[in-house]
Amino acid sequence: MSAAATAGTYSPASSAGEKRRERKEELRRHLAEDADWPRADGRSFHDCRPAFMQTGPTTAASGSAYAEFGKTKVIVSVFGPRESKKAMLYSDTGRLNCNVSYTTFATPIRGQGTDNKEYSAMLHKALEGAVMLHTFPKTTVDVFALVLESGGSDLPIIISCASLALADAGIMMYDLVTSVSVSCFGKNIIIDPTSDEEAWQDGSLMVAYMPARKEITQLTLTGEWSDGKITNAVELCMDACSKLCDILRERLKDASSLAE
Amino acid sequence: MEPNNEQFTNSIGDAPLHRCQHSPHLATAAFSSSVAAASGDPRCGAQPRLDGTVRLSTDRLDASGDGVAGGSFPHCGRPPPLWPHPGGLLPNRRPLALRRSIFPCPRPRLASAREFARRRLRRSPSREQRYAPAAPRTMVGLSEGEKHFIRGGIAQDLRTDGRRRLQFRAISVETGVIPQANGSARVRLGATEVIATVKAELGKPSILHPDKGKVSIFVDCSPTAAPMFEGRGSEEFSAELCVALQRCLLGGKSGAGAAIDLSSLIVVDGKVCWDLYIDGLVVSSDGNLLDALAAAIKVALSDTGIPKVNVSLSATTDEEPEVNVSDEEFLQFDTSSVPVIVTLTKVGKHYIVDATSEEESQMSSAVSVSVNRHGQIRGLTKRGGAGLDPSVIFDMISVAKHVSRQFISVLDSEILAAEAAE
Amino acid sequence: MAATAMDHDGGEVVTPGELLGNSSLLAGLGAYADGRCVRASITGHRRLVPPPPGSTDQRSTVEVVGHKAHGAVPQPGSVVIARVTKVMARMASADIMCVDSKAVKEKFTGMIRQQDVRATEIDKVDMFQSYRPGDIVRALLSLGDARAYYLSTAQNELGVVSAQSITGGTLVPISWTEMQCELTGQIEQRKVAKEATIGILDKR
Repeated sequence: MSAAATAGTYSPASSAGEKRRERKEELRRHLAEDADWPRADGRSFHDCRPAFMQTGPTTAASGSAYAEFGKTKVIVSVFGPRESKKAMLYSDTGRLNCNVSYTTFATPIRGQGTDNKEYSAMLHKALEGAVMLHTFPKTTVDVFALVLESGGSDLPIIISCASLALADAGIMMYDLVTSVSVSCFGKNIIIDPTSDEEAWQDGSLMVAYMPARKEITQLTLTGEWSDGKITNAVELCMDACSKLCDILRERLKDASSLAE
Repeated sequence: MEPNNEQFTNSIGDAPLHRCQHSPHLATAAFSSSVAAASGDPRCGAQPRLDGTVRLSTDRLDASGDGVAGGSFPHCGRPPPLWPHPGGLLPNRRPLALRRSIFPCPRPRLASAREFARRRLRRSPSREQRYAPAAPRTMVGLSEGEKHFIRGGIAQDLRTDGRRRLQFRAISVETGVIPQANGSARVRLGATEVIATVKAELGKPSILHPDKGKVSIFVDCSPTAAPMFEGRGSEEFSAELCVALQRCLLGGKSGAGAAIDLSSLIVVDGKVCWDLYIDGLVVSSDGNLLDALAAAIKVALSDTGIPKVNVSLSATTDEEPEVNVSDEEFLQFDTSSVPVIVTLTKVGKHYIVDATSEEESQMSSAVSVSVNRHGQIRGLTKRGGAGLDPSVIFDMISVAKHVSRQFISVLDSEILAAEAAE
Repeated sequence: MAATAMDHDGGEVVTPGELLGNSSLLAGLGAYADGRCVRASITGHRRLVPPPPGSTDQRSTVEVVGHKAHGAVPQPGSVVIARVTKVMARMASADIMCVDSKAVKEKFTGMIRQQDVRATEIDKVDMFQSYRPGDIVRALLSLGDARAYYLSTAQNELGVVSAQSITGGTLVPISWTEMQCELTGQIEQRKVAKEATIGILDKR
């Protein structure tokens, strides 16, 4: 990737909720700062890693995108719409075929990234609501994601990167989908966790969001959460998603003006 | 549905026994467990209510308890169970044959349509490595009229089998069905039937967590349940269920919020622990498999006895400790924190609980929330492609919390009854 | 791609999901109506098209002219140009090359079944007397089955538009069932497309 492209940072503002929540948030941040474990990369709890995204790394594909969030590096290629495989059952509408794979060197231990089948399913679920499947009847759009380096929050980054690649391929979409996850540590919520942070989290929550339409396409939650925190975390994620989406839009517009 | 107030009526006869005001925007949920032969309740489409029926209605009922909430059936010999009182143990189980006989066959027309769809699906399943977008169960062959009927019914709060939107089907629970396992349970939710087994084996704790045992969850969708569970389609579908269950039961990576306290499974620190294998089997599928499986796992865990282990520590610490497994003494799990899953399926503008396959085929999206006894959310999964407004999701979570409380208490009384019957 | 630079001068670049206007506009290509507003569905330049003169709806159409749109996809009812790859007793298979007027980027397989070759006497069709591998065929597309698109040439304007004889010379149509080799004068059997009316077909 050339040095010309700037890394855009985005962080959800503390004004994600109403004013009342804002004050609460402020309080929490102070509490967080009192905690004796600053985040390893020097971020505050509600800071996302700098996001670097670019379209068009692979020329053979209809569309492609590269994303780098801290250590996490993902490349997504989109092929098609092309003829569905012969073994598939007949379908009037188009299909979205998603596949996530890890390079053998993506993880500290070689070939460890095994949960990619689950990720493939999750990627599909996050994107299918955003793609206008009826515009390419009976054909398939293949979305292949390759994680070059796994550095935490892999799935949200794959989702955001895949939606950028789909847009780059010119696939009709209702909206771009961006995704952000948060980890819960006791009372603290930290956004865009790294893999070290993910390994010790008490709970995690991931939101895939269509910012312009204000719709959540995918939401998963595990571990220990109290109700108030869920609302808070979802709003935090949604705000970060909107900001990430602005970066995506910028990249698409850059690519569009470059093409002329 | 624009629910306004919530009342929790547990009515036997005319007066509600128990009522509490919760969050004001929730639905009125009248919840009654009734023992009945066929009753002429016009609103239920002459659907007789069974022993242990979970009724959650969103009717704005007044306290007089009209047809829906009123679970009084004078010709029934014994009093209906009072719950939420898990302790109030009543033998509310009936012989299976009797249950079957009073359960009328629902619309045969739909059944034949589904059968047709299944036969059509018998064709060769895809063999390639891809994620099938439509889960096999959504492929129910319905005509336009039938679809309209289902959607219209849900909009009017009267579903095709006579239930209301937030009403479960009859649930029946049996424990100890698999003698080979340490704990097992069979749960029937309408025509959906699942079996969950818990098997404990001695193993070695992982290096990363030497003070914790291991729990793994697997789900198998048997092709005997439905022809569509043949081949790869079922693999993906069961993997989806499996992931959802893991997410809801195993908690965060640090172990917080897990349904089972992993440190209770340790025998010797860093050396010996119990490996718990939780297996779910779908015997018959008519929608809402996730809720049924989670319920079955909860019941199976409460049925599980882990053999008591005597460890004779040898002098040198390097040696493998000698482990003596008792076959007489068993330890019971603390299952109080095992959550149940409540899936809210959105059809049109409304959402329903405990959807049948036909209803699931009409869903735009579904949110499965796992809630424990204390009303804490332990996991959440969304299915279906359509996007949801955040406020709708929050609304669904609070409804799921409310529904789960009643679901748990029904399950508790069923567990006690099942144990008593054993 | 289809749009030239002239088409979108000045039009701002929009990305999927971005608001293009409210319900006072109609959604055109690359846009969709979402409740009361119109949003973009692809990346490209926003362009306003005034209503055609004499139409009852006075609203302008807003469209997004893509800087990059995905390749053409066979839609049911489109007229395609295909190259015959294999001829069997009951059907011939063909690779689709153009959908309407656009070339496809990916490989799409079509199938001309025996009963779809011509409109009359469909049970007497001999596939080998209708098509040969390498023929360029104009056909009407339907979605077909799981394996292939179905192509139909059961209209006068549909059938072989270009073919080579065994010797390699160009075949010239002489009737609706026969073509003649330019070099040798040999006559070969084909289901020949009536050439004059391409324009009519393209408008459907």
